[in-house]
Amino acid sequence: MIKTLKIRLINDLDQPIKMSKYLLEVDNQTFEGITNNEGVLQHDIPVGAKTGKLILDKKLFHRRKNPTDEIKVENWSIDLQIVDSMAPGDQMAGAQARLNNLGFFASKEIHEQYEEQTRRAIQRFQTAHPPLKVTGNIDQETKKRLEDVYGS
Amino acid sequence: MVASTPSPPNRRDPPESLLIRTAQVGTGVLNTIRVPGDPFRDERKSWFKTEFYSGKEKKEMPTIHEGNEVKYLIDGKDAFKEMVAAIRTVTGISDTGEKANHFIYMLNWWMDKEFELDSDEPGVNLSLLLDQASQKGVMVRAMLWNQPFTTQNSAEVDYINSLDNGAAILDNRGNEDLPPFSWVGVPFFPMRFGAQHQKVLCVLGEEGLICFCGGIDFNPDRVQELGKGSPLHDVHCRIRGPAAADLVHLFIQRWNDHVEGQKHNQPIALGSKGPLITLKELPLSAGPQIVQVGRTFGDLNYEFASGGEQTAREIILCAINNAKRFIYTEDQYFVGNPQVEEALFEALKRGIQHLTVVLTH
Repeated sequence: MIKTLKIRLINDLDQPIKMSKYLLEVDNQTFEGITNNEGVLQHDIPVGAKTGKLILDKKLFHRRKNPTDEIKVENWSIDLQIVDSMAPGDQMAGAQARLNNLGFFASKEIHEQYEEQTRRAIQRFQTAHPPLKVTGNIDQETKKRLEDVYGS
Repeated sequence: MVASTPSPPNRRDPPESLLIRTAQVGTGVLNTIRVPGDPFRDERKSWFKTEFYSGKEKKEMPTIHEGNEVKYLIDGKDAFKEMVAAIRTVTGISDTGEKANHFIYMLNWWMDKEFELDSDEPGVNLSLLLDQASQKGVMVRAMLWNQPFTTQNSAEVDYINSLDNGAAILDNRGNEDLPPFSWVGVPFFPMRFGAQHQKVLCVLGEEGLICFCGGIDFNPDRVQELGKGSPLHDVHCRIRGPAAADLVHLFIQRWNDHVEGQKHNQPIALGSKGPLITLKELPLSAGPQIVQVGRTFGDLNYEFASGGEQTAREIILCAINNAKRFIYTEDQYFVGNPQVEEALFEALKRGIQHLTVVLTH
């Protein structure tokens, strides 16, 4: 049994990260590939997979001068927590997950609590996506826009 | 290869070369992940510069660090509360019960050791905290501005030097040329105008490296009503993560570039209080923020900043030039910097929606 994992990568200008090499590690499998022109990677993964790691090519980033040469940021990686269905965007857990992934840093852990950090993240998202009203709350317009931007 | 268990970044992450982040993604649907940082693209469009031109000379900008936690502290009350908490993390003892190389490094234009830092804790002032730290074997070092014709900071330097593990310097770089001008009735006059205004606190304690920088001195006028406009409004920030090492590096550079600091690099038997403790490795990732530490030094024969350094200005210019929606700036002076003024005018022409400049009066 397999299920499909589909991820679109964007940069901080909201542009797709095209034709970029990556490694995707899920359970004991490693997938290697290149994102397509929409910045998307897609793989069939085992049904039971709960975690994974996505590692991006270091050529994406400036080489960073490091005075001590002891720790080098050569790649960029992200740990994946894989769920079968994400909560809807108007539920707190669904909003936090989407906002975090879009770089708005809504919460360190995904949960149902509505906290100050989440409120500010919602505000930042609303500010970045006019004409949304900046309230810090997930109204229907914000939910729809968040799901549109996120892709689901 | 087995994937590791997801966890948010924090200071207890094991050292590794990758910046850790966590994303919850769903199967069977499209997920979008924004890759933070500094994707390779046209340098002019980047928020962070890696080099700049000083005249015709190409110079490197400070290192860009990923994986930091930056907490902004508005006004003295919040700033001092956080600084007190940080100073209290020094124990002089490691997790295994052995002596630890904990330190407190301070750069300040003004330091008053006697005022109450936190109204919630009566009696807690800098002299008490530094004395307690020194008694635990913690290295205490301070470099304070030597304001001409005043005793500003003198008592604080004397006090820190009296601590078993303390050493402090009055720094007058830039005001050392004070020839007599008796023929015009002025006994002394500074040949150069300006003062080193850096306000930095670096603490290495049992919770790792915690650093502060910004505009807030250890001055009671930041928390008490002592005259017009006080308590004064200002901004400070607390930095944890790899970028904090740059503030330690700054302290070490200034200390070791000063003749009094160099004396302490001598053996203790020669009257030194001992050379500075340096970091053995960069701090681990502590948060999601990307940080570049800019600095300002005049052309004052600093060995580490030949010809001076204006990387702070370059970072400000870069931010203004990249602003798309609004610019909000507060500044006590806002003079003598035509490049910044020009950049603000250009931003208005470019069509940013708001420009707010708050000045003192």
